[in-house]
Amino acid sequence: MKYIDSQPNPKNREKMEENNPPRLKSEEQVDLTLDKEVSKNLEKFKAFLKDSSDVVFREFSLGTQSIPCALVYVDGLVNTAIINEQILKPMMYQIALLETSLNRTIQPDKIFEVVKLHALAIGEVKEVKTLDDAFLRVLSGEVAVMVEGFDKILIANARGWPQRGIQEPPSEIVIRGPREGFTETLRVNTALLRRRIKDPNLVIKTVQVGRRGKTDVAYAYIKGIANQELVEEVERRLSQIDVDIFMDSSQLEHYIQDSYLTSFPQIEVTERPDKTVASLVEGRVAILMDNSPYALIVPATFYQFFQSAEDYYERWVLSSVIRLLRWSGAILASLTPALYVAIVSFHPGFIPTNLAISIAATRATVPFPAFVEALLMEITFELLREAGARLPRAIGQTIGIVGGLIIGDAAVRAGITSPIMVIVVAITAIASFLIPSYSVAMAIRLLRFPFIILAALLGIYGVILGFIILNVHLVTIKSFGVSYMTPQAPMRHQDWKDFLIRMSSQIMMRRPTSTYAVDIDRRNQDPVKEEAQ
Amino acid sequence: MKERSDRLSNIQILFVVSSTIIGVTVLTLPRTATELAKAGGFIATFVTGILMALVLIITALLARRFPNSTVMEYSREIIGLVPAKILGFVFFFYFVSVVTSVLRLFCDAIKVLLLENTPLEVLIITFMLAAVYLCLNGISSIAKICELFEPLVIGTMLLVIVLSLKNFNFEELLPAFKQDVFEWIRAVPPLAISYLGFEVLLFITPYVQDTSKVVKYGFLGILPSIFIYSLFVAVTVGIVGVEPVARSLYPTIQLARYIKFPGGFAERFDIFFMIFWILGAYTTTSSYLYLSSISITRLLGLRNYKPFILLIVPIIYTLTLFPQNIKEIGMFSQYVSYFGLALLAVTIILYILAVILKKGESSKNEDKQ
Repeated sequence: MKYIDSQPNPKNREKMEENNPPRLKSEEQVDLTLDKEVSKNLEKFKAFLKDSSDVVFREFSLGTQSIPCALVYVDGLVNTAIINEQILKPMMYQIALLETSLNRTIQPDKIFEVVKLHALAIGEVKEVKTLDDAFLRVLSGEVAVMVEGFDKILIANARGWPQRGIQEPPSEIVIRGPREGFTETLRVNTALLRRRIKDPNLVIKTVQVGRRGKTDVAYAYIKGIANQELVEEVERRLSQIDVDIFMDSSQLEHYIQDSYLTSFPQIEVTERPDKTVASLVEGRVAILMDNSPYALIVPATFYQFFQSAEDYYERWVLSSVIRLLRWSGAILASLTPALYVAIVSFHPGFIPTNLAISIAATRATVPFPAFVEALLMEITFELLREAGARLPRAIGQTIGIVGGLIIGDAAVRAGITSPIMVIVVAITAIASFLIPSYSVAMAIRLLRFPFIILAALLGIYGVILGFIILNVHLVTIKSFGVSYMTPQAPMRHQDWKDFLIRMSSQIMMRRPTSTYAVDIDRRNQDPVKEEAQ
Repeated sequence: MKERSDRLSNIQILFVVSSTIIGVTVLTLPRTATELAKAGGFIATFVTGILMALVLIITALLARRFPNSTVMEYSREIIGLVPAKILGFVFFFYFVSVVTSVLRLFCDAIKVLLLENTPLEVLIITFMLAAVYLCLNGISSIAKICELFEPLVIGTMLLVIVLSLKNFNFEELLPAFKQDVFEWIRAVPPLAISYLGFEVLLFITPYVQDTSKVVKYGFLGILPSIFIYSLFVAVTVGIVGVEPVARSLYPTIQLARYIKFPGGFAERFDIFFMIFWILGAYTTTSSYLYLSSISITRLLGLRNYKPFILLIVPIIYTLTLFPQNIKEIGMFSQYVSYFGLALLAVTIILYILAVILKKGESSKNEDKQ
């Protein structure tokens, strides 16, 4: 059985060693300072990048004196039309033309300036003096232009790569309101913010995060509204991150959150630019990451996860009613099965006698105690939900029919569960989908399992005990120094107008106090005063 | 960003005081009131409340004179080292007894009303562990929990009162106006127990943002209990009648049983009431547990109170199982409350001495008043 042998073919191995001779890491091999000779600089680039097929090294000569020059860029990340038309054409052809028409040559020590000022017809051109800097630029889609005789490199922005267009955010659909959502490109996302706030006080700063990923992370805030302490805290936490790569802003979230010992998110996540902007104006800080369509918003409090962007677009009475529905949804989703177990097994007297009798009658054939019945059905529901979540829509429907209709009905007919239990599970499921935030909905839905166990052990007293412990846990959480249960605990009555209900916009003239915004009033924008703070 | 509200805000003082006061005794209060004051129970309750509010003001004035220390430290300034240490130990012993009696009353009520077959030990341990969990998170968490639960507790109690008005019979209360004033006065000491809880003011001033407001918000904190208690006694007597109330074990529960839940979804309103009463009992137990650990810590001149919670818990557990029957529990809680009243008297004496000896920051604060 030859192919089981893990030894590589000796012939192949020789070949591999030929291609990849054992050697030092490329960083140690090459001196990272820039040279004056283009060929040597190019060698340094090649020491790292020559094995990568997507990197293009282009050598050419400039002007009538044929000064050696070179371009380095990553194919696929740049717009080749721009490189051809705005970089290569002027440098290779038009400068020579200029020289001949004026009948003089450019002095060799001025060439760099001439290229920068007269040749590159590109908006964003920078000079870098280290190879490290140049690498980062080239690998993020810019073009390095090297000219003989200078130990610096010109970086021209010719980025252009295939990207997803702006679409309606699938996780936060609104009936009324803007339909734009963030995309995976940071620049597009910052542009979406900028388009909504034409205030010079909107600050968007960028840092690189990750040793290998070198992902751009931008944090935005409005100077004069956001508390400086908060901004500093965000900067501090971002600077402390030491990982090699981030795939999505959710991983970033895990590194900057206050506590990982909880299932509740301490940072709000949104795909909607309008929601992000509304948060910025409330004095929060938004953190956007390249390659992720989700913005992180800090600080977040528990009640924020029950707000939807649409609350502010609908009339306030309707929004308030819907918000109250969401709160009751949260209570139902976490407590209904536990209360069912507690009442059926400990306190049947709590419900009207007729109802108690009919529940007892339907449970007569069920061979399990209510606790087992509830656990069984709730686990089945979670199975179905998870099975349907990641399937294509057509198959997902099948799961719904098989799971919901066939299994539910058959389980009742087979006497494994009572119809009341099926109703309880259905109420739990629907109620949990009322919560706009997916992660909070998940956390709340999973809470019903400990609640069911407590109900089975100690009845309603156990459920209340669980409720107490849950609340103690919630009040100890902080998000960037702000208590999670604000404005209920600590009580901030000024913020109650946008808490359980949403008051009309005319009443909400002040920003929430929980963010410690510097400028508390939404009216009388005074830039001078804001600058002073 | 550091939150500036890690110290208690004014409104949190209000909530801590009111939720430490409102607790287990709500269940038995109408019986205590009617046993001695008959139909005039509600007047006696109200009068007691007013008297206790006056004591509260004196306590708060004393606390305000020493904004950065607890009674453990400033009693030394007023009455000297050895008496202060003895007083401190008495305070500690008092707080431990309060936790014990509250816990036992609570667990007994739960056993009688909700869980007949569950061993008492299980109830005591689970409830105590929940309280320990809160206390380990510090006074700011306790205050936040009070803010979360207290509106629910007071809201349910008002709901019970409002829903019972349908069966309210005012004639039951009429004999109250023919009563001797002495009958009301006689009911004051046993009723005063229900208003205990504002001793917390003597210990929280170092953790308060703005001590100059302690008197005002402490006073506001006792008001809800005065009104709810008086209403409870009046409504219970008006519906159940004087004699049945005086003989009932938990008259408030009996009152809740008279309520028909609108819409007929829940048959027994008393369980609904119990649910929120548990929250009230929880805040009382937790703050007294916190007080007992903080008092022993301060008494020994230490900073970290957390190890002491874990040391106190076994003591409380053993003491809680000590009374054998409901009568002994009642006697125990009576003694504890007279103990509390005696300590309040000591507090008043401390205040008078502090004023006479001009100890603490007095003048500038009194000017503001």
